[in-house]
Amino acid sequence: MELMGNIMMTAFVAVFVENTIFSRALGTSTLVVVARNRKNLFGFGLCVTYITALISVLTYFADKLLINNSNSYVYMPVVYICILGFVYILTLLCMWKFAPKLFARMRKYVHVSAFNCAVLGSMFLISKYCETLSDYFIHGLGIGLGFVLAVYLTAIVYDKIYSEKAPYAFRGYPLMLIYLGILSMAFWGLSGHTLNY
Amino acid sequence: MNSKTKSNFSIMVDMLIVLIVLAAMAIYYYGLRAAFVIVIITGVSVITDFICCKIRNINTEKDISAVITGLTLGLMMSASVPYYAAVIAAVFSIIVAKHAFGGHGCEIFNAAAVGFLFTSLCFPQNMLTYPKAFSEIPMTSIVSPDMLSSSFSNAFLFTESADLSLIDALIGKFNGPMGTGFVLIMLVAVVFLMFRRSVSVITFFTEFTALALYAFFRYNNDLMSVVYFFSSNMLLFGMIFLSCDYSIIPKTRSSRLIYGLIFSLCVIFFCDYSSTENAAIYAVIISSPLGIELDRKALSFADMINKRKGLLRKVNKPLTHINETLEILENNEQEK
Amino acid sequence: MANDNSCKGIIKNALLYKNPIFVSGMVIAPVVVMANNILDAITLVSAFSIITFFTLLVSSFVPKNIVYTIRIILYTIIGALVYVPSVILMKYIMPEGVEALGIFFPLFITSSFIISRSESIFFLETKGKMFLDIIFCIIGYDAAVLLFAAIREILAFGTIGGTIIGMPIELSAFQNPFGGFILLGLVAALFRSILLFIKRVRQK
Repeated sequence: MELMGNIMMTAFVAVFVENTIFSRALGTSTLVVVARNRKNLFGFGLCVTYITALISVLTYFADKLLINNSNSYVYMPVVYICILGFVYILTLLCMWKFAPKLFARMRKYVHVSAFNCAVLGSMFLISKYCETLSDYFIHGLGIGLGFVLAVYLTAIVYDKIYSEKAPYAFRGYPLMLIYLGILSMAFWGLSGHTLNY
Repeated sequence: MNSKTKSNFSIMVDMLIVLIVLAAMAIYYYGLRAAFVIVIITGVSVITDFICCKIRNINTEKDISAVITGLTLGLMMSASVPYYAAVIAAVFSIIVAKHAFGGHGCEIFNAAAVGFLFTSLCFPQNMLTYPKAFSEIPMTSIVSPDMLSSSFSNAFLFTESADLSLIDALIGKFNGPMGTGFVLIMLVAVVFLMFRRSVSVITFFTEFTALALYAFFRYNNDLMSVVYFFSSNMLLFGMIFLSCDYSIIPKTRSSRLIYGLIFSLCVIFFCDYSSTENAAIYAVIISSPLGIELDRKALSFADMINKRKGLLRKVNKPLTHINETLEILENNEQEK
Repeated sequence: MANDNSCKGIIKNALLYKNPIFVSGMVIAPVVVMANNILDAITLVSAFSIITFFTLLVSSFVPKNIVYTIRIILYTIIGALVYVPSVILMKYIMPEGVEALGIFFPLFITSSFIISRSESIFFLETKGKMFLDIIFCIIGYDAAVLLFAAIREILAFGTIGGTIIGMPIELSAFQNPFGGFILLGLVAALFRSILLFIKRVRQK
């Protein structure tokens, strides 16, 4: 019961309190692009969550093997990029081989989902703040879900942000930033402290 | 009077009446300085709104939303708030939360909630410390910190108990924002607004029931704690004037019910997990965009039901020719 | 004006009409979070410029007949390899700045410039125009970040470059990410208004 409680709390923190977009603005450029079309949301969300969960596990093993000195900040990004590339190719190959119909539908999401700041940033954050494999995995899953939540909250008001009624100077991108800022202020109330970057 | 046909202006007038009553109580409790703060905020809101409307070339006839925003914002402030903070809150709420999104009727968030939240994060010391009721507050912009203390909400959140009589809790005689603690008056006000159909009954009752049940079980079945819970954190005020704001609330009944539940859930999270003061403000900001999506889902569901009803009506009509029946059944299958 | 492919058009687009920060919304995460004073902004733009320029320079020589999937991975690997000497150099020159930048330094490897804009715009141009476009996009990004950081530092801290300038009020909300989002939105709206005003004046 206590273990379940800890898992729920870790997931809650990763999704809401330390949300990738609202707390750290990671992946905002991707959000601006993906939020345009609500139909893509499910596929994209599935991809991102799968990728962050899988790379979190691989990051755990990479950290255990390779982080052992003060110069690890120099070479670990190369390692993480290799992990990301490996997961990306593996995902595409597996889908192409075992589920060609799924591959045709999801191919366009995998690229955007894999190579963005939220996913790479999640590896660094998990590496910094987590210790056990379950922590890594839950955090990775939570980061993916939190990112999807942010994209969803933006996609549902996309029409209002790009509406003709909004003044031209604010319409679209500036208003999206203001909207994200206001939501971010509200989510800040959950954390109420300074996050480390 | 049906809320569907009740005009926007009429709703705003009803809200204004209630807010003026609360403002009068705030002035009675906190004196001339409270009056000054409320007048400054309302005045700056109206002037900013007027300037924005002139720049954007839009008609402001029968639009007293700026006055409502100003009064709501003023009542959420501490009576000792510096005047510059009050001005910044008013300007921010009108420009960023209202006109940037397109003006009255196009907002996503309640403007007063956004303005208050921004300013409280800019000046937490000044915004979240309060003078005692019926104390002499100097008219200077900055009030000495010796006269101020943290709110009753803050104390209740952390200690889960209060040394406050029932009468004091109901009449708002505790440290807190100027106009959000008058529980008795607000309960009368909400009944008035419900009879006038100026506030959503579904939303309010959903929120009230959910939060009352939560408080009752959370605080060991103690009814006094439930009263303290509703007196604190701008909860009742937020439920009436922020979450039930007609410009942001969902339009369909089912959406309003779910929206009320989401608001309540957010309040519970903010109170329980992070012990955040003024949880109602955060909750209304997070639940507002979800209200838009709820409406969309409700309307598409209703559309789907209507289409099916339309088809059933066609099939149930007495048919004279077998071919007509077959055609309708084929169309039915195609639509599926 | 936005579709002008001449050198002048490329420069104008990169600096103004398609400015990465104020118009296109590219690589804004470090700006929103970290660019709350000029000194951190200088570290940020230095890191961004070095990684982006050299990564795109080397990536432009990756053969286009390699399948897209592999090309993208190659770009990021090149970015990661460019990162190694960059971080060593910057740690030597500005150690506190690199410390303050935190995880955002390596995140430039997967920035939109390298992942998407390279394929969609830069590598479709001739080599000369490509370098011009890259250089001026980087200049446009750097200028926008520095300007934004200056405004933010004045509003949030009442200082500029660490020097107190005697602002009557400090809006400390702008120190945080949410303040960064809101201020960037307001500045982007102001930037758009100024461009529209210039356009109307020119048309008259």
